[in-house]
Amino acid sequence: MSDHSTREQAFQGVDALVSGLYEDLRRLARRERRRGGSPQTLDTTALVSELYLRLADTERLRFGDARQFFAYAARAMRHIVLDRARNHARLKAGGDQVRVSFTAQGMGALVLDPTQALELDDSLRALAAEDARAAEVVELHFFAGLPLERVAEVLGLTRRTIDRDWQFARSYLLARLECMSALLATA
Amino acid sequence: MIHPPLTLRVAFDLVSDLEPAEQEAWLAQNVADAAMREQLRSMLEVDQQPGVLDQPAAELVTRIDEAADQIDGLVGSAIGPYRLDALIGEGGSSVVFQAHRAIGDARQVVALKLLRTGLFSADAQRRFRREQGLLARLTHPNLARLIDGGVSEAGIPYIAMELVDGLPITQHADTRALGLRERLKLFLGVCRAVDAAHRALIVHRDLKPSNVLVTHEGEAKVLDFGIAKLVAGDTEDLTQTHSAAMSPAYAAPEQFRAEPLTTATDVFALGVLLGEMLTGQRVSIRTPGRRRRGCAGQQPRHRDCRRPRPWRASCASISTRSWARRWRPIPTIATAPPGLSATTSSVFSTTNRSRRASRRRSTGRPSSCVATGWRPACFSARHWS
Repeated sequence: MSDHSTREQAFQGVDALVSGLYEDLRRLARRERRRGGSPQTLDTTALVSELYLRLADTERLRFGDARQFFAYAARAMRHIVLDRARNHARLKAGGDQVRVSFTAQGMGALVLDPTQALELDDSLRALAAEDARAAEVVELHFFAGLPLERVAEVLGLTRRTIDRDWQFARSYLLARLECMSALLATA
Repeated sequence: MIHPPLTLRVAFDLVSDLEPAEQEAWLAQNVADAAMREQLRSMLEVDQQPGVLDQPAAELVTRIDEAADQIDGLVGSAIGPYRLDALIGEGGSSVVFQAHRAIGDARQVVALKLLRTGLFSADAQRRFRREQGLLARLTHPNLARLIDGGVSEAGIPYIAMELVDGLPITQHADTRALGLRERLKLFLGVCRAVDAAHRALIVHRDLKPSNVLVTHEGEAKVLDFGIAKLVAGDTEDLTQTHSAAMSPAYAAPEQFRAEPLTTATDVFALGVLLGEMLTGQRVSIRTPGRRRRGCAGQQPRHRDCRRPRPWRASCASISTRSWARRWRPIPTIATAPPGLSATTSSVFSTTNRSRRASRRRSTGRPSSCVATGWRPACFSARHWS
């Protein structure tokens, strides 16, 4: 009985995440359309919408469906990030120039440079070759915005495993992004 | 203790559990591969620091959008005597708009560059005006003219330049399917412009295809001469943020090392540009290893192993890493590419030596000519298809 109610809570939690994520995606996709995003992105967001409607139809989210939804949502978000970066790079008249700014410690304003966004996508592919599950954790946590705890639930693994996956993936990706900046570091 | 095989993941999980003081010794003892050791070191370094992945992607996208909206919002506003009409481009250190001002009944259309660095001190503003005065005197048919410059009421420095409607030189050459001769002719125009600026002791610092546009009439125009210095001139006034704007693929080693830049810095970029125009691929020049750590496991972006070997030597001879050896007057780079002696003789005197080499090239053999700028042309003739 108690087991049933915790599962119920878990479902409700997932439900809230799904609708929150769906809202995020819709908002970003609307802007995307206005800015002329790639057809690929728009297709993926359409797919996410369809899937969302199907999920909302069923009384309860089945875990398999939720996982699929988050996977699609992550992919949609990845496209959106990439489209933004490409858009930006195109505007930058050639997109060769990269700015390195060394923000003073503690300012907390971490912004992803569009060039870094492209680099991130490449790096994520490299990570998938190195450790496929760690890459999936990045998709769910960073792109789909699921807390690590939820990622563990969705993938059916322990929180500890997911923490280690994330620690590895995060370091792997940041080191590669850092490397690109380091190539330009002047001081 | 180590379970083979030692993958990156296994090694990272083991070493990140250790105390920081023990990690280095562990790496030395257990990881034989130097590249993997480097990669692990840089991963351990970022492991302890805040990073861009610590917030969800949706938030990052929203921020990128906000920054873009801020710039879009400037369209229609006035900067000095100019009114901004449309956003043309956006770079690390500046944003470029198409803008206009009324002169009597006429309307002058310009490219207006807004610098991202504010010039708030009187001293910085003086320096900006002085530099900009020097640049305004620089005129050459292959240089986009600097028309005007100033500082807006809000302290934003701006530069008004001749608006060039054209394509980046490499793109122009490809879309028009230009042959070797036309490509070299275009490049020669660029060399002339760079030479003229160097004679006025002005260094470009950021030569690259997007700064060399070709108009519909087929005329090459070098943009932004000396602007990089104008932009960088104020960095010492900034206490919190230090920005270094350059284009890694075209930057000379001294730019990575923040050493004094000379005209040889532009020669380096010209070598890369020539290579790209002739082979369609960017010459790969290894960036100096001052801080190469963490780059193990990452492929340089523009490495091209398929490029014919002679090319490597010839482009490297222009873009050599040693600036002392790189230094040479631009005319010797541009002297007499194949079939261009008529054009070049009007600009730079064609020597007997180059004529001899010209004849020799028609037999398809490499020239014995040692004027280094020659070699790319010779090899391009042999390898161009």
